Amino acid sequence: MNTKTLAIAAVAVLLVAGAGATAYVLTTDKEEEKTGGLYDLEAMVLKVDMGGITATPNIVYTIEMLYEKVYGKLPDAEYTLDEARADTEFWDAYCDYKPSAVKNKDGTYTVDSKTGRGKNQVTTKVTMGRVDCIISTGSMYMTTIYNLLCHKHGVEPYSAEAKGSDGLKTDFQKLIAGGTSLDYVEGNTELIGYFNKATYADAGANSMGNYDKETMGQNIRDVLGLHPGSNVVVMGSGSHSDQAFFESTDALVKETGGIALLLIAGSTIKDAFANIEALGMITGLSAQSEPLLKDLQVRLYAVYKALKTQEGTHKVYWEASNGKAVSGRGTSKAVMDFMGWDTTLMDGAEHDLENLNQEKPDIIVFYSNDTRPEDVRMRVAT
Amino acid sequence: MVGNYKLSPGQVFDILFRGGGSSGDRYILFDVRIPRLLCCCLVGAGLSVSGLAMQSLFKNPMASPSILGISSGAAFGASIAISFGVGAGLFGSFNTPVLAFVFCFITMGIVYAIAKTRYGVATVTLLLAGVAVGAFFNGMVSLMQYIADEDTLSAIVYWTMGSFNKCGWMSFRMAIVPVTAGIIAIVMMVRELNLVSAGEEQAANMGVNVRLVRIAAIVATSLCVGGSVAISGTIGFVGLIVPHIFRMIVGPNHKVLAPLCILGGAAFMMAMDTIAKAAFEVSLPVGVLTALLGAPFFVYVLRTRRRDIWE
Repeated sequence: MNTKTLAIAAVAVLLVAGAGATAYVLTTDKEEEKTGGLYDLEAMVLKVDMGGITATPNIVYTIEMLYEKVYGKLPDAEYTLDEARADTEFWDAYCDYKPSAVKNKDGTYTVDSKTGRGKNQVTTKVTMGRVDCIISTGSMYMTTIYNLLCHKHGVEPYSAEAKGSDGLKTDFQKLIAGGTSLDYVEGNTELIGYFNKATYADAGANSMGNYDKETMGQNIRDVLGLHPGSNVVVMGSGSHSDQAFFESTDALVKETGGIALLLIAGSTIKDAFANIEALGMITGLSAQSEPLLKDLQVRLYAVYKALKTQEGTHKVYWEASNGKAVSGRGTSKAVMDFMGWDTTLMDGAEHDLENLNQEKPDIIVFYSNDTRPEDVRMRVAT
Repeated sequence: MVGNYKLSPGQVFDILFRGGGSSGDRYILFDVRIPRLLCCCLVGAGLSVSGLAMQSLFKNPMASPSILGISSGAAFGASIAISFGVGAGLFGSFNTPVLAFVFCFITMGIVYAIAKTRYGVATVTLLLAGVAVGAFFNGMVSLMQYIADEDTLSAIVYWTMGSFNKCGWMSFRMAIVPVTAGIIAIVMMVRELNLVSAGEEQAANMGVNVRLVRIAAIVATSLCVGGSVAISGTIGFVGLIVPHIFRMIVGPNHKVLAPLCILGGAAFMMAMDTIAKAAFEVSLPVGVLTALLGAPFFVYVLRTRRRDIWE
């Protein structure tokens, strides 16, 4: 046998082996039920949009989604805001929020800007005019503004009608003028189609902590260049900022032409409502935020009442993309507490399979932007 | 002139010498860019010259300011401030840098106490104690990262990567005294470091108080590292490679090396920070870049200058 024959034979063997392996993998995926890892818990697996639940209208939509995934379609019963308000147990727990913005007699607004969290949280009162353009980090502000503008233009959020609305896009691009990198927006929200890459002042960052100060100054300058005379605010989460950061960054914003820095913190359903109201107020969208809030509160009440009819509870295990449980504070916890589910596994710790088999959660939640392959998430690839 | 806020050389000149520019331009130059550059210089100079002192003291080419575990101690101090808000009641917003600085000195005290025997402190024991204590604090930082929630973890990791993004005049004022004191102390010891690096016994025979030099070098290094990490987080590699590079170029004389390390360290850090904030779409932590760009450059210098300076 010469070398050429040997080479042909080797290639033939490799081809047959490859075809066999492919056929095996394909038939295995199709025919065999997945077992091992978290599959053995036989729990319901749900996905939740991370950016959508932090202090935005999506917190209510997420609660509705969780209900319908777990218990089935929500009952058709319709409630009014008066009925919701009359149910003081519900209203006091979830809707009776302390406003974080007020309108002053001279037409300006005073807004709470918060840094730190827990006992170290510091609130600063920021007085400013109506906001024309926002440069924001994270995705909660853009999500809320998007919802408000959808109400303004009479379209259902995320619908085909909304995607085709040029008026909505124009308003959205003017208000959400810069901030969070578009890469982040693309990977974490469904809003990328509403942005104009050519005019958006990209921060190249997704949080206040990694937002370069010179870039922030340049972003403000760019936005003012595009919308001369506009009132530009910079917004972000204040949970991991301190007062020194607030003061120095606020000075930067004002010196470079912006009108204020607002750092907002939110970890409860009440905070979400307060933030929606504040955003609507300072952007001149109160006419949209007020009915939106009422709608959200009534919808939340509908889920609340539906949950009252459900017996028993569920134990939830919510895992972040780092493989650890989501911590027992923040909006995630607030959502699960509303559902009345057992959140003892939402403790920020890493839980091994032995522990999870012992605790037996019957609902497993992952973030929708968790890019780990399914087998890795479900721990069958280890 | 290089930065993410666009200012031409002409505009910078106009702002500096004619009082021109908008208030935003002046703010960016005077309150963002200049203090940041000064912080870069301070940290670069401090880490480089303390690296020089450590390499000479331990006669070890792998020595750096982190060899005594003080960087790890500082990282632990910062981690508990970020995770639990320790010191916030006393130091307010400055609890993280203050705790980082304090833990530098606590670590130095622990290392020295471990290494000290009734017969004095042997340099090798000091080095090993530093490695052990550093490993311990690294473990503690890992523990902090493990138990932290996502936001806190992100803050700790970002801090341990090192960045000048939050540096302003307040940061510069916080670091200028300890870092300058540390640099001056090391510069004043150049003759002694020349002799000690040739051998402690010979140095003692030449009239050098080796014990005093050792303590002074360690305290000076702690001042430099403490002041630096307090404002910029932990930035690795600078204290290792900058002294090496100049040692390979100009030889082992500390009288020449010390000023070169001060100037070269400052220039190196400014260059790294400029690249970190302006060269990519995303502003990178400078500590990542000092390792990514510093290491290949160090290898290049090592390959092209083959003088056996440690022999």
